[in-house]
Amino acid sequence: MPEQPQTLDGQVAIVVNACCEFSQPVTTGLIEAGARVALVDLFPGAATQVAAEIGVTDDVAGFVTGSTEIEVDKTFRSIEKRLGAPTILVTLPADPILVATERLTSTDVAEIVQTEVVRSFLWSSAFSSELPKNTSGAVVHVTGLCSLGGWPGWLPHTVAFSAVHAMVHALAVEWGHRGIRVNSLVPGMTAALAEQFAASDKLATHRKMKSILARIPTRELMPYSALIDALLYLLDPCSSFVNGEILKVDGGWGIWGRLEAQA
Amino acid sequence: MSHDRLAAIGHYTFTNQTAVITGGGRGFGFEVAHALAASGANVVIGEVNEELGHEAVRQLADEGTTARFVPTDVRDPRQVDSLAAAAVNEFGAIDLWLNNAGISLHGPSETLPVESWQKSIDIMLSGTFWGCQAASRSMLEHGSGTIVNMASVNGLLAQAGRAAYCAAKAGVIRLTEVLASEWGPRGVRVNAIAPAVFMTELAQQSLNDGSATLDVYLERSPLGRLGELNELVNTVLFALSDKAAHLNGNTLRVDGGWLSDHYL
Repeated sequence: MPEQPQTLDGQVAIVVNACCEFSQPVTTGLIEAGARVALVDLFPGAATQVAAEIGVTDDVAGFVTGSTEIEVDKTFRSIEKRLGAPTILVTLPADPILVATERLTSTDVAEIVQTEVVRSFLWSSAFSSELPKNTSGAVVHVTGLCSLGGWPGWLPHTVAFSAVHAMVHALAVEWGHRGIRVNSLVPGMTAALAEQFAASDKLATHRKMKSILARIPTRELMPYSALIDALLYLLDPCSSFVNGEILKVDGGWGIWGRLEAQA
Repeated sequence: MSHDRLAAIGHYTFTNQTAVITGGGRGFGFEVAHALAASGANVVIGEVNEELGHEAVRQLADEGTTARFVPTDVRDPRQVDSLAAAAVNEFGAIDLWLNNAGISLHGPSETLPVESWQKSIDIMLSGTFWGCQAASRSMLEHGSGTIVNMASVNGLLAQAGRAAYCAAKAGVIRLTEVLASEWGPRGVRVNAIAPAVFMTELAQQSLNDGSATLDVYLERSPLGRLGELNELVNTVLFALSDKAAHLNGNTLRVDGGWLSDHYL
């Protein structure tokens, strides 16, 4: 990972969802920019395992949390006690669960909405409530490329991520005057996601790895470093007028009309 | 821009990269030119006002950086081509291009003079296209380059009395996306910036001609303030830098939440 300028020196950052493919690079990037990181996950040991893999024990600590408001608040207080008052919150997406729409149940949808939308809301709410007065804060919700439109088999995630984006706009407007900026990052196609696409033949037989690259104007998958650079841009104190942004790190996936023949 | 404001801008380096800025002789364009020069870039300023263009180069020289000035009216594609040619002749290639030239001609749409409409479109939309086209000749040949087009929140949300400005900026945004999809496979990234209200000369013109009031601007902004120029410069530098290497076709908002607010 390229060396980062110390723009977050001394700040405490919460990263929610250690099981995400981005958790280790995001945590490492935040640490390299000078932050101390509280890595949080629902599963016992998940966060501490990632923290141990990163290996910088003084700057990262793992925490297990629950999915209710009380459990989130309790975890938040543990973080404050151990690392100090957080001024940065980053939520990461859960691994997608792909189910053909005609087989989706209400339980499937509710579970994904709970995981992505309610979780992001609870952590944002706790962050806002506990942020010390006269202190600036920054929240970034990392979502997914499927939020930009229809992906067969991804309906609950599309809906959930779109809801998170709407929440970003609402919170940006409501909390802006309090010094809390709220933004979102939409990661582009990664190697892991591309493999899922290529493997899910039953859902989208015409999407193969070669076609995936042809779908991206820059013809490249997103490296983790690109996501980290964009995250650090949003968190940088110099970005103090960036609020309510939904920033796509997608090589142009989201803007291309796809009217040309694919390679 | 003072040294304090330069220090407030994020950490980007453009050592030995050649940057062209249209409308770079004053205001925001000059601030970007200054920041790029201080970050190691070879800077070429295109500016329609010759006095301002020469003064910009002199100011940068006083600060120990160098820049070139080429008189450029972006409405004329031949002049924009000459700007690009001058940059290539001196530095070998163009790496970065900022289409910043703009104008503020507002008024009720039913009485908007033809000249106001035409000038707005010619400078901000056509001028941006000529700039992108001129930049592309060098960039596509070398298989790399980054273009940033200045749009506006007015390109995404309507504002009464600004038909020409809003239409031009909306056009810039879609143009950015077309070029990003067309040139992305060939190594050239194109992004736009959508600022809200910063106290620039154009904003001051709007206040002076009564098409806007400061209190309205402040009330409209979720952060309760106007943007500061170093905040906008920071986003432009990010978009131009290799830290935005996977951003293509974006319209980056620097608006304090302006576009998020759809309330009263």
